[in-house]
Amino acid sequence: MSDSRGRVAVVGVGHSKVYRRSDVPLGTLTVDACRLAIEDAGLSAADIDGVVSPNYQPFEMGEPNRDGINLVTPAFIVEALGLEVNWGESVSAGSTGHCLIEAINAVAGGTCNYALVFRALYSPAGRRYGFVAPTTAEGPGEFRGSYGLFPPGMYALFMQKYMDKYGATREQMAAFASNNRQNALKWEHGYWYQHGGGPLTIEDYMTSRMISYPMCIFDCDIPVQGCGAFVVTTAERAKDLRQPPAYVLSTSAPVNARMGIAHSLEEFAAAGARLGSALLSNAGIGPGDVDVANLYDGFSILTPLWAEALGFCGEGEGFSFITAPTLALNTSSGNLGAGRMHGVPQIMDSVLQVTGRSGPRQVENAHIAVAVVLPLDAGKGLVFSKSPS
Amino acid sequence: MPKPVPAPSELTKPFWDAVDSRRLVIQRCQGCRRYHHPPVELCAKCLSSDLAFEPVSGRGSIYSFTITHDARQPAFAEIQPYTVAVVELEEQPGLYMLSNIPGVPTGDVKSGMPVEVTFEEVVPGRFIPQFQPSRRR
Ligand SMILES: [Zn+2]
Repeated sequence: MSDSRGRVAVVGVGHSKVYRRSDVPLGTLTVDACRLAIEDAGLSAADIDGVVSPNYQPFEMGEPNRDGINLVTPAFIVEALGLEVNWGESVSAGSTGHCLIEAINAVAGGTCNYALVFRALYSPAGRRYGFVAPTTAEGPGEFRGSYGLFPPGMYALFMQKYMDKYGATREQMAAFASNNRQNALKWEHGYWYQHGGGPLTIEDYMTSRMISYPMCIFDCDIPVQGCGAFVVTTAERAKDLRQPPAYVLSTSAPVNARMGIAHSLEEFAAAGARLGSALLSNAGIGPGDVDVANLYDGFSILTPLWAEALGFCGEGEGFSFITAPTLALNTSSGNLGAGRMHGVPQIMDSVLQVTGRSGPRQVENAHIAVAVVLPLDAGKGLVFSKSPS
Repeated sequence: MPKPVPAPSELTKPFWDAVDSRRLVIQRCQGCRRYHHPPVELCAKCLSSDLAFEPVSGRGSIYSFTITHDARQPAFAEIQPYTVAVVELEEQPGLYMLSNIPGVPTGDVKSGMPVEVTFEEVVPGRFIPQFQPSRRR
């Protein structure tokens, strides 16, 4: 069990409006989300003395960085909100989960008292997201770029292998996607909630456009433009704030051995299991103690693999588990329901659940919630609790 | 529109030079005999910097595959749907390369299928390794 269990809490959350494609500057949406999170905590900008954000977008857009337009740096927010910060970090290749863990550690170590974490995602109007036309394959893509393997395909390889190995089916994934859409219609910060769309039937899934077989369009998250923000402080300071604290019982962010051309399914699963066992044992809990699990689903195959990695079901049982979960699964509706918010919904609804603030999604007696974000080889995990121990 | 052409670095040039003459070589640690692909600067298993490119059989099997229907680059959008397979070389477990399994209809590609190397000319004089169903019995 970790010594710092329950000593830090998330005390405020905020979310901008979400757009499918928009020219509203990302800086504007980020200021909206950050102000809402600070206000939610009952604080003012003058209280914030730490700020951290990832400084990259998940897909190449073939354009230079434009601060406030296609990404937002911590320095931009310091200027926009007039913050005086003692700690800040712009994390390359970071995720919402990674930055939240950095903030938790900065607060626990006393580098700052109230840390602001934000994640702003870019999806501009008038252009096809991530559509570029390179003439050379170089750098990390030197051995991959000539074969036309793109991010959906990298995960479709795992899904195909999983189906071959365990006899799982696309029909099972269809049932999960259909159930997840019901959650999406209750997530007010999500794409499907804000932009219409009704239920998703199994038939809708089975007859939808294929992206990278065996993955169809409903196995992939929709790119969106928007921002989510969080405020983190010590458990001691949290007592005096507006909202009940979501205590952090543990965090995990392993580094795994370098990947060659691709991970095997087995290596990928082992990386997730490494995170899962550290995350739960540092929290002093077992899989059976978890009431709510928000398991990353940037591509649908990740959710059953995370369920196995955290011990919610056995190896090869992930597809069965996600069709009939034994705990409240992906209450935020994840990336598949909210849009490509890169871990924001998973973490935000986990916080809301354990603080009894999840409204129409509220799980009765939700005491412990687990959020894991990103694929298993790059996973970041957090355990939140209603009480500090 | 041609597919992106590999741009070798100093480290990877021996691999691509061999491919351009239709030979498959893989970097191998001379200390612990482990193959590394992509090539590495230093063997993390035994810390040897004695790394050399050695010919391999070119034989392997399909570990997994996907069929791309929605490519995000024009060179590939033109030819979709197409297969992308992970091929495991017989020399070492987990020694993977990619291939489009040319000449095999997308629906006929299966995991476990034995394959052997061939070479595709992407632009004049520049090749990439590909794999096709094995002809040996
Ligand atoms: Zn070695």
